[in-house]
Amino acid sequence: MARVLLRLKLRLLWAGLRTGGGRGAVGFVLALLWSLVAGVVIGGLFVLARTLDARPATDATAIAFAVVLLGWVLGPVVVAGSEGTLESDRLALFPLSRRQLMPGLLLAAVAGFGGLATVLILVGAVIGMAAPSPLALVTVAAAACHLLLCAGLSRLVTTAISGAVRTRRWRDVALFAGPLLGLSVNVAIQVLTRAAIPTEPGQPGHAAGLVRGIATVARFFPSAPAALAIGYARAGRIGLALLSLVAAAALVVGVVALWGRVLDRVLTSAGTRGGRLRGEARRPLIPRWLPFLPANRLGAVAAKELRLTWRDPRQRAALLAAMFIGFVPAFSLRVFTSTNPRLALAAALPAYALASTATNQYGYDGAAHWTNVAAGDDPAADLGGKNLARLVITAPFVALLAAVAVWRASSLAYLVPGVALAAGAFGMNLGFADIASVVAPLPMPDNPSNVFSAGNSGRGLAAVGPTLGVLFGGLVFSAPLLIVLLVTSSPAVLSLASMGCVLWGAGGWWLGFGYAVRRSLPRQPELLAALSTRAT
Amino acid sequence: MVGGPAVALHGLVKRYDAKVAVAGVDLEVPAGTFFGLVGPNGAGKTTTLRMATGLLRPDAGTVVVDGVDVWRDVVTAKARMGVLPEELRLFDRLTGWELLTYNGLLRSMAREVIDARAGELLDVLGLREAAGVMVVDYSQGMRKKIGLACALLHAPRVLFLDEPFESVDPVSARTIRSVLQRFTAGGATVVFSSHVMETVERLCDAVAILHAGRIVAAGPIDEVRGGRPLEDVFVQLVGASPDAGDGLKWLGSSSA
Repeated sequence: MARVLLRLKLRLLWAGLRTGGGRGAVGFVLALLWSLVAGVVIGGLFVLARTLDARPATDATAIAFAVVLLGWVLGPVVVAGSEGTLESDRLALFPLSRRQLMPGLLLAAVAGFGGLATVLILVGAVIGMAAPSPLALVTVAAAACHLLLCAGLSRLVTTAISGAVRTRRWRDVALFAGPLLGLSVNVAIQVLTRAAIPTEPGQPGHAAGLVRGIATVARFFPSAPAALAIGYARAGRIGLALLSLVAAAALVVGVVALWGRVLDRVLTSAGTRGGRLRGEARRPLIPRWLPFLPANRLGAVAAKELRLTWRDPRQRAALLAAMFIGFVPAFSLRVFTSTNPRLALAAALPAYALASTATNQYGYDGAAHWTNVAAGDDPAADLGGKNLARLVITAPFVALLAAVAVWRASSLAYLVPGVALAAGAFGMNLGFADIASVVAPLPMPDNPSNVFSAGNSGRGLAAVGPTLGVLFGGLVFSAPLLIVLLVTSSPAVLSLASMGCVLWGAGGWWLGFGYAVRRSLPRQPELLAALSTRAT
Repeated sequence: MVGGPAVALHGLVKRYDAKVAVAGVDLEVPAGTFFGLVGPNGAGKTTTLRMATGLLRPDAGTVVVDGVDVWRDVVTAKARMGVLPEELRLFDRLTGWELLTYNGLLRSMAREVIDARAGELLDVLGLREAAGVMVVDYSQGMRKKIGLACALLHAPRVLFLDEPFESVDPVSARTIRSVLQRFTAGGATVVFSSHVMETVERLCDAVAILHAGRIVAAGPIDEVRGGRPLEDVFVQLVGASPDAGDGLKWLGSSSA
């Protein structure tokens, strides 16, 4: 049975190469390259670590083993269903006992890109850390224990969550958690890199202290006994090395035993959870905390947009991406630390970003837009409601940046110009975005594998192109007023330029919105048809 | 509207490139009837209903609903009709209650009226307990029922339903049938598509059989049937498939 499951896993990998057109092949090659690079680089670092003292070498091993283990545990959680055919609850259909399944599933877990990277890392660890003595056997055994621990713990987690991963709630969280995890890793790397740079010439960076702190945390991970066994063996401390090895082996046995119990439960219990849906709460569509939303079509669309922006992981991700565009420059300009009063003008950044990314306002409605079309064509209310929702989302961020800048500078001089510039940028760019929304509507996929993606390959530019156009066009159109605000400090000129910004934004929005409404009013069936093409 | 048909389709045509989906449909649905539009898969039922409800622009022809030309006065016409499309795509991250409120506000209904009617519809359709649950978590039957509630909320004169009983369990189907029968008893009209002859025979006063984009038979159901089961008439009109009895003899013989 182990051979059958191993062959099944290898066939799945091979099928991944051939399916999905070019995308499958590209994904396969990228995953292979990533595994090889990660394995060779980290394994190579272990080889280079031969020269390190005992303590830093053990620290490095503890950290590396903890990172590898985290990858094995979190990988299946955030990429739920990546190995669907080998999910335990699907195997429940076959007349197989857990004793028949477990060796094969364990072997299949190792036979993959993660397994390849881990084996390369462990080979590097053995070469770099093994002492030239019989204690090298302890190093090899500890590395093997770590591999088994990774595979066993990964299987334990995937088995335990195998039923839940197919629920809507889990998918919602996982879709968002994957990219966020990637972002967190990126931020962590940047923090470490910055810490390694000396704050003053001739002074050491903080990296060494940071690494020591991380190693202390890593020693509490289940991967620690194997790492410590390798460290002690390298230092020639035979007693502690053997004790750590026994602990590592015991941990593997414990994890595998627990996995067996969980597997038993999954194989012998119902895969789906029934039960009646309950939720009588009559929560009003229009939130009470937004009393200014009118109880009509405009307010209904705005309220729907606001609720869906929070509840739909795709829209949450789009908002996060827009915030990223808006706030990264604000951080770069040091809005949160500088005392320059002109930085209140940075309040326009989130307005600029959130309006510019609204170039596909019907995209998330998709075919559900029939609800609005069937209720009678009123694109002014539909698009107006969407615009209003965007304003409600944007305003607090503008207020936050303006307030922080004013507080840091202890000056109100640029508060009005900052807010006026935000209004100008928002109006002008939203006007452009409204036109793009009705001229080039693009249905967004219902069940994307990545909430930050535009769906099928080849759609990326179609999705991002209008946003880039509005980002650039809005900047060009607003540049004269922005320059005036940046170069002058005369209150009179600032007041005039502020008024200009508001009028400029209002005019831009009015023209763009008006054109979008006039264009889409007689074309609602065509808009619906464009939104109803299946997006995958 | 007094005396005239509830729905009148004349010369309705829709092409998709070289394929003619609807090839000149002429049909009149008397007011106050339960009207079935039947046909095999791909006959053009959904396309016809989408054109009749103002969701798909026809290449030619006219549609009059409750005396209003749908494609000339689209807003007035849509105010008089309710729609339940086949592939029921909804704003499913709203709760059932929110979706009903959304539909009511789209149609400029007063909040008090929406609340009262939504409560009654949820009670009748057995969705009261799930009113605060997001529609994305509803079963297929619950989705059909909340879709029907949305279509009925504004008390339309004509209700268009595309495959309302598809993928619906018998209990939900009975609930939907009972609501629709109550609806037509009040003088309103239901036009629904289906390829389940049993349902059509049980519910409808009149029927039209659509095949390859054309109406091949239409009229009161007894007249169309001519004393035979509707399924026999249907199969005869749309062409029977070859008898599958000769093949698959191995089926049921496995001892493995």
